[in-house]
Amino acid sequence: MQIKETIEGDVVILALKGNLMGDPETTEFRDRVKSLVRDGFLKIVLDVSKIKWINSSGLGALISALATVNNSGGDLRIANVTEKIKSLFMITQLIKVFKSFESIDRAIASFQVDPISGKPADQ
Amino acid sequence: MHIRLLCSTTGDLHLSEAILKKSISITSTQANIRLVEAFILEIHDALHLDDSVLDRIMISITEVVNNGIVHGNKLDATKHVHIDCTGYDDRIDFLVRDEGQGFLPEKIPDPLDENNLLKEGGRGVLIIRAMMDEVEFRKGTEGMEVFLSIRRSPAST
Repeated sequence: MQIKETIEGDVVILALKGNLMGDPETTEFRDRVKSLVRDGFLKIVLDVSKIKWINSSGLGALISALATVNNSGGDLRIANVTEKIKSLFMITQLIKVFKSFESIDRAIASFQVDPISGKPADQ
Repeated sequence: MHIRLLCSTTGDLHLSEAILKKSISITSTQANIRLVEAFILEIHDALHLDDSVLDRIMISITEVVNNGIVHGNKLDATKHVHIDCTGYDDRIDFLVRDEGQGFLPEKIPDPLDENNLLKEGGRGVLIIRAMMDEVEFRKGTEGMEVFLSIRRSPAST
């Protein structure tokens, strides 16, 4: 699996490409998120459009990454959810757990703070 | 020759002849999941599966094999997971066998329970049952056996 990292302001976008079906890929992904949090990046967007296959191990890695970021006061959001992944999110009810957006831009925008309410734009 | 006796919804009996038989045995390291991915792609090459059927097979079989490696064989590299695939005109059957003690699927905590939603594991059996048309867990002679079957066309009956 390839992980491409780009930074826009204080948001990190991780584009995942390939399979997320167990080690070593799941460990590599977890470690990448832990490293970002250690370096102070607490707003992470996952672009999952290029994930070919993901199974319960991959879903577990996504939950682990979400917990890592949440436990440090940040958030992880998902962009470009494919029908395949949406189907797995529905089956497992993880659709209730992950904040998903139709595009990377929208996911990034969701982190922006509304200047009037002072709350994140998606709340 | 491998013949399967089928019973249709009308109660008529008919015979279905295997058009593909393939097997693979792997040792119990998680890196060997890649060999299983390649094995399934060989089946795809031979049978020209619908993309959604390939997706469902790939997710389910790697899931079952991973369970066999981790929970069945406890990552003991001297033990194996065996996969037998039999393809028919209308469906594909898989038998996945490990060499471990086995487990009771009904003992797995409900992954849809609100208290379990944030747990990292425990979704494998739920996903397998949702992806495949038939799934049966049973205790085999050497370990756990999982029989899985899927229709080759999502639209066929």
